[in-house]
Amino acid sequence: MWFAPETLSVITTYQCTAACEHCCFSCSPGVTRAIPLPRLYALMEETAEVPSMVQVVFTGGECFLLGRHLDALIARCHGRGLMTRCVTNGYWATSPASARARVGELREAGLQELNFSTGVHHARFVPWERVAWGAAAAAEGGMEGVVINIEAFEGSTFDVAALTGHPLLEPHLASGRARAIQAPWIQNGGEWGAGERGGCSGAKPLAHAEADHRFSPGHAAACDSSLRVVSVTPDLDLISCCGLNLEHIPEVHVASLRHQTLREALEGVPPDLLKMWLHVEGPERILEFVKEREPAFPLPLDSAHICHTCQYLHQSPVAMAVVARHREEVEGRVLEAYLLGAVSREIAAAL
Amino acid sequence: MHYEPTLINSKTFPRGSAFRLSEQGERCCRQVWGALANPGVRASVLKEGALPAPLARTLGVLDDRDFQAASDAIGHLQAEPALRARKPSAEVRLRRRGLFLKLRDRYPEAVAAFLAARGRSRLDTITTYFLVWQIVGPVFEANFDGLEDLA
Repeated sequence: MWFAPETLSVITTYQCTAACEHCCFSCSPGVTRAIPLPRLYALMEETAEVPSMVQVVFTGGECFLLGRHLDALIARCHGRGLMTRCVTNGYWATSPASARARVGELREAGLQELNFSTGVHHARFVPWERVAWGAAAAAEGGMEGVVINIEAFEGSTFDVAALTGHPLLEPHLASGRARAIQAPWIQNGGEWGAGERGGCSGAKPLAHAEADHRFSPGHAAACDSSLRVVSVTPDLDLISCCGLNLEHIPEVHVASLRHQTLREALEGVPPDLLKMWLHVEGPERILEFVKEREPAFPLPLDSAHICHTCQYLHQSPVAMAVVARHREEVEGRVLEAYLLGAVSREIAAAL
Repeated sequence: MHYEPTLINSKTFPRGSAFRLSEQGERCCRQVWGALANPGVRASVLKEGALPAPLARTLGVLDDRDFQAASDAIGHLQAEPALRARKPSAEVRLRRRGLFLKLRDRYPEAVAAFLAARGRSRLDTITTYFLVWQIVGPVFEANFDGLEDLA
């Protein structure tokens, strides 16, 4: 193995209680593809067998649709020394009391982090108050990573102040026990291409404030996810990052877990310069490298999300050809930076 | 041209493609990861709490005297968890600084080069990177030409 992923993100199912416009995986109640339960349980064991792994993230779709299996899977991870996080739309927190009860069960199973997603699109299906109740219950229950991710895009009418000022949630935000983050909502559809299931092809295109553009000063950054996070899809594809745009980038599908264990799959992935480059410098810097060599190359200046820029890079034959042509120029620099970072994390963790 | 639209795990997975590393790049990569996977190296880091002695010595990075000096310097850090705190007190920051200077005095060229190349100054970071450099640096020097300007 030439990389040491720390987090396994498990896209447990594409089924969701919501059907948001621009959902990155085009999830909806009608989509039922999911990782088979026996494979899901086995995957927890396999993750514990990979020495570098420290955390399992349950996401989807809506991972709470797993019901009691979610608790059992978390407990299994906890028993193997793995940290756990769930990413949810909060539909299950139908009242402050029910939120406390469910959070208590998950806490008992060993859950440490709970992330919520909300915003204009989510709130059409899940009232934002449930997110407030759920996050407040998680913070009260002593969970460490309570984060609310709020869809951000130009023209969003979501009342952020109402959420953050909710009487049950506000004290936890003020004390830092919970956090609310407005993050650019990724467009899925329009010129960026619809998802595999085509669910968002008719969605209204999204625009983002110029201050959020990835090429604005101070925004471009390395991809923290590439090679540090690996994801598993309901089709049991292994993805080399968090995989938000996995439907649009075949190159991030690095193996299948249908007939091999996670460790076997990881060991079979060949060293890949582009993924290392994304890891150490990020897609914006790579595209700037392309532009320096092909001045007519148009940069996606309106990209507001690192995954968008990455998609643009992979889908551009010109960019890929330039990277291929000049790969020897950057290999030493990229490999050195990648190995220094990767090894330093190993050693820091060991120390 | 190394952009190879080859099949990854082709028997089971006919999707994706990879920018394969050059032969020397791949060798370098595998050596570093192989070293880290070496039980002796890991044991050295994890149990002895010292420089990864087997690797450092195997690669000829440090002679015994240098190895001991570096181990001593790093040992100060490991003996006192407070020095590795995320939010250190002013006193701890001062002590970190002192240890950094000590490390810098002992390895002036390596540390100065590292600081210049990385723009880093925090002791916890530089200490870790200094350790890392002992592993990665020589592997690079053995596999790539003209990398001295990076160090």
